[in-house]
Amino acid sequence: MNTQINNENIIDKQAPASSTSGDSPSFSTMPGSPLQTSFGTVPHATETGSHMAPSVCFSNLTKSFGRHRVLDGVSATIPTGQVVGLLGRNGTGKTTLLRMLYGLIAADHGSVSLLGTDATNASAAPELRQKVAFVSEECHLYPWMTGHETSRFLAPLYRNWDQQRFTTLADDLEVPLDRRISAMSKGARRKLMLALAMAPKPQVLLLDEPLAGLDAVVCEQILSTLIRSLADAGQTVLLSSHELALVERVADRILILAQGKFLIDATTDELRHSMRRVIVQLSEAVTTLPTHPLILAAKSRGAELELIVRDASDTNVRSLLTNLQVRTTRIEGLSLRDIFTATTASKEEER
Amino acid sequence: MITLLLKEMRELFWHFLLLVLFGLASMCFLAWFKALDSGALSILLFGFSCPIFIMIYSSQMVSGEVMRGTFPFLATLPLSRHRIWLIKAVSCLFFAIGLSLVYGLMIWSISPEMVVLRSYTQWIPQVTGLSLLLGLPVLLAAIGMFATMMPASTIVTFLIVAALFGSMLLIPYVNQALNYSIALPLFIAIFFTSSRQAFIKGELMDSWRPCFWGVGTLIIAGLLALGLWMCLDLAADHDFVPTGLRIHDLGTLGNSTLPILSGNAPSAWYDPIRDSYIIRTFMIDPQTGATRQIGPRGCAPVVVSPDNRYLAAYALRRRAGLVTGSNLLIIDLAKTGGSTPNSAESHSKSGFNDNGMVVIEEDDTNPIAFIDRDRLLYRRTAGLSPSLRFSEFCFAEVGSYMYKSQQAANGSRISELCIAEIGSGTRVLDSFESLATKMEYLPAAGWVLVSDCKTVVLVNPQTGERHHLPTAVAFNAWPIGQIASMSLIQCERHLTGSQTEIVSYGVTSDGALATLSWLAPGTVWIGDEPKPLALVKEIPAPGIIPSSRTLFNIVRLDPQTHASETLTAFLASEYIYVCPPVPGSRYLMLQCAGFVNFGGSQTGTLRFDPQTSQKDMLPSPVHSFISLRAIDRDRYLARGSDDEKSLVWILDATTGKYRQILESQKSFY
Repeated sequence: MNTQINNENIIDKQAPASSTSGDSPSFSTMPGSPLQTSFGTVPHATETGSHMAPSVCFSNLTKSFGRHRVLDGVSATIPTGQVVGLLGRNGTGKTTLLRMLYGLIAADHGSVSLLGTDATNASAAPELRQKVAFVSEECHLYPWMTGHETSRFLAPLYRNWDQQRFTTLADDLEVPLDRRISAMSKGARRKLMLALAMAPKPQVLLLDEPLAGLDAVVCEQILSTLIRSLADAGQTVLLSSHELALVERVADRILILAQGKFLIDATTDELRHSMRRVIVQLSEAVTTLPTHPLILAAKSRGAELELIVRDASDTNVRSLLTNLQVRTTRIEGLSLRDIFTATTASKEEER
Repeated sequence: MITLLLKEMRELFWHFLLLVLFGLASMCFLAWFKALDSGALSILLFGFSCPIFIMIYSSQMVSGEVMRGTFPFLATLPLSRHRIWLIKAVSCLFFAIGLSLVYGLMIWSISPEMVVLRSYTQWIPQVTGLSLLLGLPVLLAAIGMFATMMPASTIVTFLIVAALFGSMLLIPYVNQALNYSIALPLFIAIFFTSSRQAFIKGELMDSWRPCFWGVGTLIIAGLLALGLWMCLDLAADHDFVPTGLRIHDLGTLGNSTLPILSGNAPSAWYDPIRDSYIIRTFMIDPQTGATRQIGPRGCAPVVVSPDNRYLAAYALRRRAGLVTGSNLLIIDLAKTGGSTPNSAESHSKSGFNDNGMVVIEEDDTNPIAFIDRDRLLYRRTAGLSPSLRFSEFCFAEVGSYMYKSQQAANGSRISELCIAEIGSGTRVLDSFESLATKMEYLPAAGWVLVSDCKTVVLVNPQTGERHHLPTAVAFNAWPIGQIASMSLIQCERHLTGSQTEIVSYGVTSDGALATLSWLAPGTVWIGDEPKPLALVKEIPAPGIIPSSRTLFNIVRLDPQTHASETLTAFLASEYIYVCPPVPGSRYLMLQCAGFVNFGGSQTGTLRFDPQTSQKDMLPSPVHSFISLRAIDRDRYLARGSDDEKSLVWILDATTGKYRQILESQKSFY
């Protein structure tokens, strides 16, 4: 899958773009760019090495709030053990999707299957929740309870509750269990919620912005201590976050949600290896931005043309530049942040 | 599940403790001002605090969690929404009932008789004791549990409670008629069902979704409950427990010989109309004593058409099981299986429904008589205002059930026939200046006798013609029968002070009025065939007979010559009742509590044969007085009672044997 770029002007193939965020490049939308089609046949985990039955499967999920359609027929299949990062700008429906998967809200259309069970069936929810955990962005625990009390409150409700595991996790995360939740810091509450969510040994963990508003240390604690350990234990994780760098570290697969659809659905490796920023110095100023299905976004600055290209193999890049008076070409690797910014911003502009 | 219940209890405990302390503080407060009594405490705790606290607490059961932001955590628990709702509902009920009991205990500690609580009985008769302690708090909790699914839940709760109780108290017939034993559980079920549905479908309870589901379910459940209410009403119509019947009236009606029994039967427990005893009318099979209810419950027998085909009754007007007034009900007895029509004449039945009934929906209608087979004369009382009412005479033509108000000869409508009925007695509507208290139809003459507190008037229902009886002041009038083609009337006329005089009049079919001075006061017409017979009370000379006895003569009168022939005489107590014979009857039957001349004082029936002047006593099967109604020439329906029961017999006048056909509870009338 690695792209071979035989171009003398390639500067850094793998390195994340160092200054894209600082420059805040604005990409104009490429007409006809099939962003929503993602990476064709590549992304699904069943085809990326895992042959286990899917833990999470949803298809054609649609949800509207009033006239605003938040989700517009999204589908995905997540195999067991995969850690999936769900990305999207604010208000794109990440939380709605996770709540729908957990059965907290009902979809207008579509189906959801968790661990082979129809999750849209309300009667199956109590049994499913023994195996599926959901951690929301906000802390909804009873503020008058302490951490210990909360665990004692929840323990009888779960068949597989592992108090030892909870205590260990809470200790590792340095959660003050004997303190009332109302007196805990935001980070401590979030860590407690994660520890509580993992104590019953869920097979699927749905995390809604688990890292939002937390300092770097806490984020690191959560990621390194918990998420990986879950995935290693064969647990499936679907987490939404804006902490792209951290998500990139742990996620096997990335789903980028915009305008109710998945713009990107690909493994992290695929994203790293196939998406490129192509910077072309032309002999004269750019008058018309090139269009091509492989060009996700394009922008010009005088005689410099900057393209975000998917499937950026040597052949593909050359074919894209065939009709241009190219003086130099530089191909850069993209970080998840770059990809996210480029794709979602351009999609937003399109609106 | 238990863990969640414990959590709810833990949250509840502090609220509960606070309110118990509030109750104790209230007692101390009242005691400080030397006003601590059962009444004040009841009003404070039961009248205000308890309902308000229950409404506030229950309305916060779910919305409180939503407001505090803890509801999403509750929603993610591995419990079904139903179970979570159930725990919430149980906690809410626990709070409501617990608080009521604790407050009840506090009031009881002041006044063990719970006098004030009992006084609620007068206000809402069925809300007593357990209903007050448990029913109302549970209803308030149910309303709160319903409203808690909505935004501004506490305000919604108060609005619902105000609307519900306001409508009950402000719309009198609702409060009067509602059977709270049925209504309370229904209301509770409706609100809990709607609450549950709103919770289950409400997702995170942060949108209009729970409102939509809650109100939708409330409407559907309300309609279902209304349907159930109407089904119960219909079922109660046909429910009858003969042993529970308290016989109110017995006998044949009008000119008919149809044996009819009316009585007050205890309401079935599921009867939505709140009335412990509601009148029912039955036909009796003289052979078997089997009873068959006529029309719905609340139907009082009034008149039967001459051929026994139709029965006109005053009946409750009900909408959805609520008493809202009265209807005039005309029942085709042939269609309801009551009897076989005597005439083969066919009738138009366009007005009858499938149950063989015509319902004329007018308030306060009273049948007077069938003028003929197809025309019913009835009085309609129309209300101009609650204190000012007037009466109309109307016809109901049975075949087409059309009614028309009687027109006066000069074409003016109603006024000539209207009788002002003034509730306060201060305003006069028309020239009669009268309050219609009694109306009788004189079949032989075809006139209606209307009496009021000031005058007696004869009204021709066909033409509207009227004649005032030349009695200055008449308080009552009794149609006493007919002689030749003349209907006779006795009127009581006030003289001076407490002195009264009974005067007799004869009325012919053309309305001619004659004063019958040759009839002794107190003459009772007892038969017409073969010659007119009368019972004449004779005022004996002082000291001749005991003062408690009166001498009665049965005489045969010749209206042409005014000659009288005494057939027999006997002593009896002051009150003697004559059973009106039917044409062809061989005997005259008289009842009295104390007959003399038959071997001492006896209670029973005096059988008198006018042909042979032979009289004999038919001993009563019970000690008390019995009443008779003729059902044919030889048989009589008899009703009496012993210490505990009312009994109905068929008396065979020829053999003098009583055959019991029905036994029921003793009447309280």
